[in-house]
Amino acid sequence: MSDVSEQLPVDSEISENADFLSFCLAGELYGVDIRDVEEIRVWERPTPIPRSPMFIKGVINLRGMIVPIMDLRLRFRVGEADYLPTTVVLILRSVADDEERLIGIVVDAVADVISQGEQTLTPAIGESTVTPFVTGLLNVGEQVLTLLNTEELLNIDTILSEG
Amino acid sequence: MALDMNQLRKMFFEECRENLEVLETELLGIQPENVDPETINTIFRAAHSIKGGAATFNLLDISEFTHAMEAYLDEVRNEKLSLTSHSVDVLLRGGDCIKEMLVGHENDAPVDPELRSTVTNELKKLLESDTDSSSTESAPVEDSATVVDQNAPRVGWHVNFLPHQDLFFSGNDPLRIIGELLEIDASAEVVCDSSKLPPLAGFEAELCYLSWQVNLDGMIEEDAIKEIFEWVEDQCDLHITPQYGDLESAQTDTATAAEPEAVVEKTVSTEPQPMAESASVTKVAEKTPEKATAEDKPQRAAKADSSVSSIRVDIDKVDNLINLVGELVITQSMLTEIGNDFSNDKIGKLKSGLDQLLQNTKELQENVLNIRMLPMSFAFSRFPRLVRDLSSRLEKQVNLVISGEHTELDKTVLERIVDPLVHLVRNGIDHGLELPDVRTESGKDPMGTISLNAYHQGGAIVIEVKDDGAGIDCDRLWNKAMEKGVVSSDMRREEMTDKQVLNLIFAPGFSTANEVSDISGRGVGMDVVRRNIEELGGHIEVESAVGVGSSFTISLPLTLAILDGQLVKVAGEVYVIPLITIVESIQIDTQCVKLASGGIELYRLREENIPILRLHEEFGLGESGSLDGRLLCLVEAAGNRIGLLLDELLGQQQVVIKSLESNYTKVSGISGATILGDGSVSLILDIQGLITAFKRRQADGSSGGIAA
Repeated sequence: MSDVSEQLPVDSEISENADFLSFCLAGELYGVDIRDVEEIRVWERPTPIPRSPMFIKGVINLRGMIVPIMDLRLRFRVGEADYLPTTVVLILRSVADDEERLIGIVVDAVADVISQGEQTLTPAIGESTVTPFVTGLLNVGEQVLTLLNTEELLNIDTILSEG
Repeated sequence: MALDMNQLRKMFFEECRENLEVLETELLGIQPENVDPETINTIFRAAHSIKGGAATFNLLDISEFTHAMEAYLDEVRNEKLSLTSHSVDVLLRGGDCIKEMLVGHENDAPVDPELRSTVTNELKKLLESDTDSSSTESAPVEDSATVVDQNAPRVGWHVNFLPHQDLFFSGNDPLRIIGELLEIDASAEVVCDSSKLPPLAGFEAELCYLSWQVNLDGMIEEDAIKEIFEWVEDQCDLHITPQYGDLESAQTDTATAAEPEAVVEKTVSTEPQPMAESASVTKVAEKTPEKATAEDKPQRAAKADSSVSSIRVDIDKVDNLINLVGELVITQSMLTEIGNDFSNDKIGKLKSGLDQLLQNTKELQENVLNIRMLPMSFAFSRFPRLVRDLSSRLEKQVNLVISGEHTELDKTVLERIVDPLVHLVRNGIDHGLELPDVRTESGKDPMGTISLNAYHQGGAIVIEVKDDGAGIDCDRLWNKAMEKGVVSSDMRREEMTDKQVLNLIFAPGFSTANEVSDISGRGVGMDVVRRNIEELGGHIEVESAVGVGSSFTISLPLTLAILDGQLVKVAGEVYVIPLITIVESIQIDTQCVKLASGGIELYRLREENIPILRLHEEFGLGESGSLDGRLLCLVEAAGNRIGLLLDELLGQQQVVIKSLESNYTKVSGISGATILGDGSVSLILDIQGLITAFKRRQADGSSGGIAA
């Protein structure tokens, strides 16, 4: 990971030369800005929260902090929620109104760190449960990576309204 | 300057608050007809420190305003004027003004100038009752810059400022003073005399060897100049002499008189010198506000609780902590010793070591919590002022009795209990106490009494607010409640005990009434009071007797961070129920389960019908099935009882409360989370919330309704 961080651009603009952490979700490739990733954990059963949206699996103890975990497959309605040994939890961080929020997302597997390089993002097309959270699309070899906007993804009001 | 100005400013704000408190307390203690000169001195000193500090930090509005107060106090101190109850009022309001300006500076928010100008005017009026000299002083704002003295024949002032060598020790800075002089007269000539500088070998960096001559425009009032030097008066030799007629000759005159040698050398350096001085001065002046705003912004993000962010701790408490940590270290090294070369025969030693560790940890925890504890006086100290203001406005005579102000309470709890207390006291005076002649008629002392008392009871603190007023008439309260629709119209007075009727004043419907004073209308806002207290995990009770008075008793947990919890199991999940809410736990006897009002399950326990809340369904954890032989945990909040259906009772333990909201959101029925010994997360039940939601559902008619 250390050479990755050396390549990190200094400016906070996501538009070019950003690094993304890609992950698999129901056969598709997704990515988030690597600077939003706090840590990667193995799946452990969270404590369920009553009256929460069905894709909120519960809360875990992250070094003394109570962090909610959401299942992205359930939220995007792209597949069944079975928890395999490769299932991982990405703890993402977003800052809104000067307040930092940590939320974990359950994904099938972490793939790679991908550098944007000279490529530009192409806008998302079509309409699906995912589009509201998409920053853009990026070609990665033969695959297309859907880049997600962490802030939108972690927006608590959106989460609760979907529930 | 490598000093962190922001840190210093913060310290000043804190100090200023303390001084304001002194000011207020002393002023409140004053009997205008019999004033102790020492009291006046104390007040004067407090004002003086505020002014000086404010000036140092460039908070000119505060220093100017405080100057006006100080000027008046000085006259009182010198017995030229005497205090009246009116002037005490004005001074108290002055204190409020300063407080407001202080808050304004802290949060970078604008301050309403109106209050300030009214108080300034009143202070001026107070001073004008005296000689003219002081009245000019009272308005330094206008004087210093704009007021033009037509009669003055003088063309300039010659100021000779010879600081004592130890000037720096008092925290004063000649540069600042000269900067201020330049502010009132930008064209002033400043000549620095460095002739007293010793040879480099004997030079002490902390001493001041320089002195200055400043020539100022004659249009400036002498007082304005004096004011600038006021702060260093006794740390320097200061000569302010007016210059008349020809400027040049006057200058040489005085200059020769003062510094015959220096002049020759200095005439050459006169021009660049003041330039250099003023340049550096303006730089500082520009920098400070800029820096302040830049650094204040992130602070504002931490919101208006700037006064809350730090805590002053009794040194004894810190000493205690250090001792405990020392013991912990000893225990730790003892355990290491045993571990290094362990054999089975040392098991006894190991056990005693672990016991000791347990003891140390417990004590350490207690002591760390203790650091957050503040005496009740923090909350009580504002009441003398409140009572004074209110009693004069309502023309009632009130005697305030405060006891238990040394009882300690967690800072967070303390800060949040203040508002409810203020409300109770205000209500007590406004509606509870009768007017003096009414009191006399009914054979009471015309002076009413409000008493505040705080004491520890078990793991909680109890705060009582009592008055010896008219009391609450239950029957009239009842009628009012009927009128307002707080109780349903088919209820009958006889069905309720007086205590239940009294509790109606906490009902939400009452608070919407504008004025209910005809029934010592304690209803206004009482629901808010109760809600605030319950949010802190406490509860409030009221007792009242007609003609004798009323008494409100608040009990609160000592801290919000830790609670004694009962661990329980529901559908395989572990939940924590705050121990304080639990009345008892029973095994369900199906004979006692009754159905009523459309399917609501009630448990008959000693003539009382307790609604059963099935937590499985409540939290969407599946079906709970038959009640037979299951566990029912009776919990109570705000006088309402409910039975929670559980699978299993686990152990009791103290749990540290963690927020669910910081990363997620508030969840109804859940007050927070905690981490158990095995690292797993367990949710803490919000009993009050559960009961309220349950009752609301019942009222809505949805039988046993399950929200999922």
